[in-house]
Amino acid sequence: MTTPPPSPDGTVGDPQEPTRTPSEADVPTPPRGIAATPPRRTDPTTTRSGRARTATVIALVLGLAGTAWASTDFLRTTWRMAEPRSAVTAGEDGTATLDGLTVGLVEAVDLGAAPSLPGSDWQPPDGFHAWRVVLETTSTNEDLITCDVALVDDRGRQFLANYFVDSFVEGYEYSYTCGVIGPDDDIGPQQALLVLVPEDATPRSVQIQQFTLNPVYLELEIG
Amino acid sequence: MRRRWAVVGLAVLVLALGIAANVTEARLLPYGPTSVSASLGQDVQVSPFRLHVTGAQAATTVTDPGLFGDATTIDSDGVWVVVDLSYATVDTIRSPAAGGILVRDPSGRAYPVSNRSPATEWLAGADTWVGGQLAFEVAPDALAGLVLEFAPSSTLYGPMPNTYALIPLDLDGTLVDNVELVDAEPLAVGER
Amino acid sequence: MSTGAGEITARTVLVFALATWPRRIVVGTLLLIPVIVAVFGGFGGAQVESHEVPPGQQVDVGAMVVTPTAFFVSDEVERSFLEIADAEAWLGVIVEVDNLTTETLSLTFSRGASDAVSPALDEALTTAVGWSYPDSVLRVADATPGDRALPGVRTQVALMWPLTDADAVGETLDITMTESELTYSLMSKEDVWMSLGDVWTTTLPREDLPSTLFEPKDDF
Repeated sequence: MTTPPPSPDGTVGDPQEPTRTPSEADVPTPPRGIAATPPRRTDPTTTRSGRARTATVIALVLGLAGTAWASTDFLRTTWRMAEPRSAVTAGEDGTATLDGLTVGLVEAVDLGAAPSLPGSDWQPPDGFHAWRVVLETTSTNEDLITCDVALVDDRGRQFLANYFVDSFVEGYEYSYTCGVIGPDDDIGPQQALLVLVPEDATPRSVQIQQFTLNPVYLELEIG
Repeated sequence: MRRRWAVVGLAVLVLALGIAANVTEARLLPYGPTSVSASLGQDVQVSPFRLHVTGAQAATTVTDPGLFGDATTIDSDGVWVVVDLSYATVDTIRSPAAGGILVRDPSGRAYPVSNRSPATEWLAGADTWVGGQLAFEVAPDALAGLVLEFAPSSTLYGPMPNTYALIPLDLDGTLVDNVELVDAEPLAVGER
Repeated sequence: MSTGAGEITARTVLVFALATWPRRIVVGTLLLIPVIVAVFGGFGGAQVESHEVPPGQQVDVGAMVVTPTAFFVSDEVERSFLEIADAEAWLGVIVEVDNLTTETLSLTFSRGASDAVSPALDEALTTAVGWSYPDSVLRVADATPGDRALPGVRTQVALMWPLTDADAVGETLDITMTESELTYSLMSKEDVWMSLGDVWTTTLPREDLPSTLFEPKDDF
């Protein structure tokens, strides 16, 4: 005579009930009787194969997460910081501030294809215009020295100041100082910069960028 | 029985794919199968640049004009190849990556832009074409069939199959005594 | 873990391999190969050959043919670089180099340490980083940069190491040239120099600084 296995609630099947030796033809049926014990359900988290499966799934997820973390390392570090991606725009007073650097756009003017530039006989090549950009700057950031200033058009093209132009035009700075300006430097709060822009371009904004500020940059709208 | 062979077959396939992927990745990047050919006098798109090669000359010596009129003549243990070209970018100020421009002969010998002359890569802007010269030193028997490879993209974004351009230089074998080098300068719109 | 019929497990593989006598013999032989080889004296070790050659002899180190001729010690060349390196003088080894490969090679051997051409120097004497390869290379004919060996372009250069004590170098200098190959490393995904073992040594005579390399002092 064999004893049926205990059911999950710990009680043993009624010992008064006649039991049969199980055979392969047996179809599991609840024992006949008044106190029918509920059919035993196999709980996936407690049986041995169920536990192994759960552990495998967890290990797989952790492994995938770890691999994803490792393989996106370049994306998260180098790529993300490589180029300017997120803009800090001007507030109500027309200035934008980032890391102690506050810039306001005084003017961005198209000087045309044949500007007269004091102290220089440089002219833009055919098909280009010269633009004058004046920025009002206050900086308490000691890590910065110079920054790039770009006129950006509606096609997203960036035209950088002080490239492909005469560096020594009177009244213009040959580089844009975004670091702390000492009392001895003869750079005023307003700096004028010369930009070469193709005549088919319509600049919409001025961007101030520096790779140490990446991925953030300052953006000031024109007009 | 078939199932067993299927498992073995798949194991072999995985192994073969793994090795093939390793070798391919190691060997082909960053020059993926994206090359574009052009001839002299044509504009060609090699993102983020547009390139136009005007022509090339072979010379025994080149002359560096110097900053203050102090010109120097530079000879070579090989032969100088001076390429006249211009390029612009599509988006912002860029210079082609150092080491990304070279000339290659039909036997595969590769020569970088020479570091003995000032004729090296320069900056160009968005739709702002800047024209100048690049000087290479090559073996005397490498002139025939020399091709310029222009692979301007930096590896900033990691090894990627970026586009590169192949421009046959069509050197006819004539060797001039000297080429005077000129500085790169921005060109008028439409000029190359 | 349940095992279904016909599944491949370690057990079934083992059973398969030892099922018949021929298979057992094959497995046995495979296991015995190391023993058999050992009985016959083992595999030969990679034979490193060392040759002594006179100066001025061409030596094929694999990637290039080098012909060292002489050396100099001088502080009258590359003066500003010497100041930066905080050294007393340059040790310059004059070699003719002929690149046999199809790629341009850097003679400062900057990709991975290379022993292709190394002077026998006490490490304390040189401030060079990675003292087996030179800090600076100049073309002897005109003191222009000579750090590139172009394929098929033979050139004579001075490989230079900065010395902290110029007097420590005598009238002769031993140098070693090691067979080297620039190969692609799958591990680091870049080209690296690999020493293949064969070594040539020569003793070079000392010479004055070639006049073409002399750099006049800037008097400001």
